[in-house]
Amino acid sequence: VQDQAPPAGAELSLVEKARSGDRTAFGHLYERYAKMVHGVLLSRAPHGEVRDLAQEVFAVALERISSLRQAEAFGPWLATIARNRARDYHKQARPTQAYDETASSDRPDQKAEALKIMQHLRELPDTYRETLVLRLVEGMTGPEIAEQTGMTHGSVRVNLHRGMTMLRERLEGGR
Amino acid sequence: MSDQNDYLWDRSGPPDPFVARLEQTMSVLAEEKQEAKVRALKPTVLRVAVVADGKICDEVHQARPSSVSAGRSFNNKVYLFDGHTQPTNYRKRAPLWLGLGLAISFSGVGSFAYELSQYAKHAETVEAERGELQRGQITAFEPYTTGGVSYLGIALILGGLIPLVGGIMGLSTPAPARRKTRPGVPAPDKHPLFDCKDGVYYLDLPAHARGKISLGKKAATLGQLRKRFGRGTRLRVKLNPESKGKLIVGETTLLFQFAPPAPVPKRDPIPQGLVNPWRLLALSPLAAISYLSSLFALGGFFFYFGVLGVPGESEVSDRFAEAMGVAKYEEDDEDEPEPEEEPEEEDELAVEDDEPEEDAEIEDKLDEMIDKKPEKFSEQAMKEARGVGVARVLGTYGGPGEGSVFDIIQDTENDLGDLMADSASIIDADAGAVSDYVPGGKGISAQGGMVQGDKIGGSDQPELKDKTKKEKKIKPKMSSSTGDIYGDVDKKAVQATIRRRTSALKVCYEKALRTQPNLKGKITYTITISTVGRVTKVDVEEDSLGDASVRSCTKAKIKGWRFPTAGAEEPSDVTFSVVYSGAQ
Repeated sequence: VQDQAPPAGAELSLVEKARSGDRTAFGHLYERYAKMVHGVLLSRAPHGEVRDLAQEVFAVALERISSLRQAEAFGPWLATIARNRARDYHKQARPTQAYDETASSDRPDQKAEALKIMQHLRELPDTYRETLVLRLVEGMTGPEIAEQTGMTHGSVRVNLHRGMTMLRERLEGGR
Repeated sequence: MSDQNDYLWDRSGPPDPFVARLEQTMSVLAEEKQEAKVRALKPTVLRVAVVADGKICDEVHQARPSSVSAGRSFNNKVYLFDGHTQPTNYRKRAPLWLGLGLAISFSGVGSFAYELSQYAKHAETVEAERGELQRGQITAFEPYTTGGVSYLGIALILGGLIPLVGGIMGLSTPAPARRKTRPGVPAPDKHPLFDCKDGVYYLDLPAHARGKISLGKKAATLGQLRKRFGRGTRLRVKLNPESKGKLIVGETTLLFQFAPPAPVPKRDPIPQGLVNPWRLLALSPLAAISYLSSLFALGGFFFYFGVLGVPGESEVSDRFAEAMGVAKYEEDDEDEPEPEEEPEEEDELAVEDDEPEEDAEIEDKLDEMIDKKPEKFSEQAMKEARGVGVARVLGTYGGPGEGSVFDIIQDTENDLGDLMADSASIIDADAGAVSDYVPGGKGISAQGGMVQGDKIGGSDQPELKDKTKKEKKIKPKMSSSTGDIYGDVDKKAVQATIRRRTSALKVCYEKALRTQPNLKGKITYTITISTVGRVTKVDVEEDSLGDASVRSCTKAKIKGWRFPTAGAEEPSDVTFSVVYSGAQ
């Protein structure tokens, strides 16, 4: 199993600056980690809510970044905030309403199919689901996922392989 | 299979068709990618301008693909005139406003005239009652004592001017020409004019629309296009980024073209509310004005009363301050440089007694020898004297020996005892003995009785005027003579020192003379001088004076003397006599 790739020095510098209150540095971190946070949230929350939830995750991170002790743990720390926020979202008692996400899309057919696949994805275990969403939806490679979520390369590779196998079975079995 | 895993891992191997298809399908859920694709499809945006009455009155920029409808209104709230709206004819109702204004104004004039007449009658009645003929002093505009009804007339006159002026202006306005309404079908209430699907704009024209369209290099009127491509009354034209044209819908003219999109403002990744950490401290204009006004008001108040001060209000009389022991603040003293202590000490050290001038040369040499560094020596002595606390002074007062007041005070080179003895005097409550200097009034005498200061304890209230009264001075007459000197000290120096220091013993004798004016006699002392010049032992060989207080006092003072002992290797014994000859 390959060890976890260390974050780049520039990224550590960004985290240090952000911890000291540099908002511009935090903006760069946002651009770098937005896809990861979006993917983590998408694997747990409805697609229409992900954008707002991502904003909330970064708002919480901005508020608490001064309490982050290890700069190199920023990615896993941010992923944990995103997972907790998604969990809180489901805990909140809100009236459910039927909402057709495909109605607002310019490619309704493609989006409908994507949401259908997403339903199958959400039936997978958490670790597989999150890794697959980051890979298939956000377009991140395995090394990028490992770097930003704090998982080891071996774990990511295993999650991708097993998750893809399970997803393939479900999709082919559903047809 | 391994290559396909590599593609799934980092896209390095040949693409797995299943994974690639999933990637393409699922990418629509990635919001960032979706926007990027839209931007890629739409390098330009449709810009629609609405022209009314020959002027471009509004522009519609379409940053995102959507439909633009034409008719009575756009979806984006750009209103179109359909030919039924006519300009307002102000002349039509001008006579009505004119008549209304005249009526109101005339009623006001009438009301005012009536009030004037009523007031005239009232004034005459008053005159008749008072028997005064002062009608000329009463004016028509003076307030009527029974009420303010006359103001109603004035208000009506002024209020009537409004419709009156409106009516006059309406009559002076030329009547507008009636617009010619075009026969035919008016613009529809709502019609999708521009439609966008999959990033491509289509122009969906209603039947009554006219105009001209340019599709790149080719241009054609809507009539020509309708003849060639029209389906019934509808015409649908696919537009390309080079398309532009002019459309006439009803009485509204629309200009459209594609243009480069306006630069998208950079989206702040952080919510606006969190960008500025000082946002909570931002002041609203009202709060800022309030704070500033408070600052000026309170700041001015405190500056005036605190810094400038109110002259004459906080004046404390000198007499009161003196009685309370409050040091008055004097501004003039601030600027004046403080007098240096060193010259004063030097002066004190340079004080010499009234001895004959015959030994002046010897004394000068002695002074030079003894006081090689008088400044440093004096500072050290003063420091020792200051280091003694009041408690120690009071507690150890009363007799000779180490730690007594005399020991402490006279240990100083410049004889502070003399200075303090001259500065105050004490009346002993025991009435039998005279105590030495007791600073601060009450204290314990040499015999253990309570003593009080002559000023504070002498009367019930402080008599400030008497404070400057000087007590009667007693000048004792004394002389000294040096006898045997055993040891290797410089005899001349010792003799000169004894002569110089003998005056310090006057204090003891002077106090005794206050109670015993006829006290006279001679005391012979034998002192032992150590190798460092200190007096280690004082013995009284002969005492014809017979006063214990003088004996103890002088012994204590002598013990504080210092002698030059340059080169001395063993202690020396010196015998000298002091003759106390009474008061002058």
